[in-house]
Amino acid sequence: MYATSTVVQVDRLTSEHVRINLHMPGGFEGRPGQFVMVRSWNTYDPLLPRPFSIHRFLDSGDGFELLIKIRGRGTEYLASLKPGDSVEILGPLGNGFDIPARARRIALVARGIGVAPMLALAEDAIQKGVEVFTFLSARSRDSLVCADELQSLSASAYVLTDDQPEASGRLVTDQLVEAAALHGIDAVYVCGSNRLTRAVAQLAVESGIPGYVSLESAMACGVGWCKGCVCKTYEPNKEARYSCVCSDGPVFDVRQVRV
Amino acid sequence: MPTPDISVKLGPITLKNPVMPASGTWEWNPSGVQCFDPSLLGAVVAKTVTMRPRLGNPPPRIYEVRAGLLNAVGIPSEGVEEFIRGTLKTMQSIKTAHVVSISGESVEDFGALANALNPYQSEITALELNLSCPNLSSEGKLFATDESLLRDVVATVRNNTTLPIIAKLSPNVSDIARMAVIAQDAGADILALINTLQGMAIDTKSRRPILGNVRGGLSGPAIKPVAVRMVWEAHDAVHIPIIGVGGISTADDAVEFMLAGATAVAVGTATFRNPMSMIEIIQGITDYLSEHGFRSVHDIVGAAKRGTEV
Repeated sequence: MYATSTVVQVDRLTSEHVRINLHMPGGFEGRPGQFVMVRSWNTYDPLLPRPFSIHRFLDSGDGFELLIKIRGRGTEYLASLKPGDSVEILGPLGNGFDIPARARRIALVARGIGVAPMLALAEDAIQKGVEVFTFLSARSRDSLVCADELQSLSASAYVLTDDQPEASGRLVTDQLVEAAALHGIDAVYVCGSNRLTRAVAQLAVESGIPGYVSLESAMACGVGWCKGCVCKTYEPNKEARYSCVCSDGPVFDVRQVRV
Repeated sequence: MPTPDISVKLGPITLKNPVMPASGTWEWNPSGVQCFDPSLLGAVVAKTVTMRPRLGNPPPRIYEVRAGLLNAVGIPSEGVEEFIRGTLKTMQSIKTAHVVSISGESVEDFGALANALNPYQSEITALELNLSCPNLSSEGKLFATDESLLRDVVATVRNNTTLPIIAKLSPNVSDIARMAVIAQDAGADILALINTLQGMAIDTKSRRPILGNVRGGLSGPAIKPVAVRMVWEAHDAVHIPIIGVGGISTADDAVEFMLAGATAVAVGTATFRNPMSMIEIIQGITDYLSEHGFRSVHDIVGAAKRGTEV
């Protein structure tokens, strides 16, 4: 649960993205959509570990990969890691993605770094004989990561970036609705965009297709103790309450949250 | 050299070792994440419970700053009835002392909570008063920062319970020794200090406060020197024991608090950084006593005041 991992490999994917392969000596098992608290520093600035979704589980069962966007002190430390370095890991944590038992086809919808948890989910789905339809968007071609890997696993993949109006001029959300109607999608998973999350929620309400969103939040403990990472959740005939993104999530039924 | 005795006598109670979690920073949940056997702790401390259920503050509730953490969680609570039915029962399987933190919106609220918990003498080792909350009956003044409110609330709890009382004091006062004496004279058995320092942070891009509640409490290594100084001053002024809290991350930090006058310590933010912190600190205190030839934690409490022989 709390262990020291060793860095195997660090790949710089773009100017602001790295992929880190970590070896866990005691083995590592978990579910797609779960996350880990990661700390590679002994300084007091940065102080706390940072939460990252598990990008991919290694087939060997003794490690995993993280896909990280560099945006502050913590991620700068992580991006500078070298093979052989030690990294403290708490996890896997949180609930993870559920693939409904009878699902034949699922859709993965992600924008930007929201793609991070989707590779593990796609690999899990393929292994279960479930077809994957992928919908990716990003601010620019340069900030698009993991598209090739997901494309190779998907029955079909739509990739759009904001700087490519010629791509087809159509929104990812339109593509998703069309694919749902055409192929019969059994569940939709979304991460990385409030707009896309709202579209998935609309699809859930209007077409009854279950939708799941993986939320991002700053965290202190990662395990439900500090109540620092809450989001408001809604259930029919109940008062809204604060749920911890870490221990009640990070995956929520898309109808439970308002983004 | 025999293994030192790390049990501590804290006024009316005895702990098997001097390390406990700060309220609201660690929980015991049989189905949740657990990195160690919680019975190893000197005490477990339940998250602050209030009379009625409370939602807590809107997010964002936490923000990391240099060497510290700002939080404005806002005391979410299941309410005392549910606490007695559930959490208090599950705490009993942990074989160590059980501290219950309480907080009220008025002096009467604190009295009612103390009264509601008083029957559970064998389940609860001590009540800790979280006094860093506003009194809604007196323009939102904080119990811990107003002399007469502090006196009233501790005295009212004293009149409503025979359980040992830990008064957790706020650093947001100009004379901590005076507040410590007030809490002691009103009936507190033990003091805990310090709670978080009030602070805030502003996002320079959006030009808005970062925390949903605007202000928050600062914890972590950044506040440790303030906490050590306040333990030192309170220790001079009172005769009841002190639990030192504030930025303790290592056994060396814990020993520093003891040398300043703390008999026990509480660990908060450090647990977020390293969930094994408390266990490492217990071991480290033992090692320190052993290496320096002390037989007991009590040998070093306030020892920095005795001169240079330590």
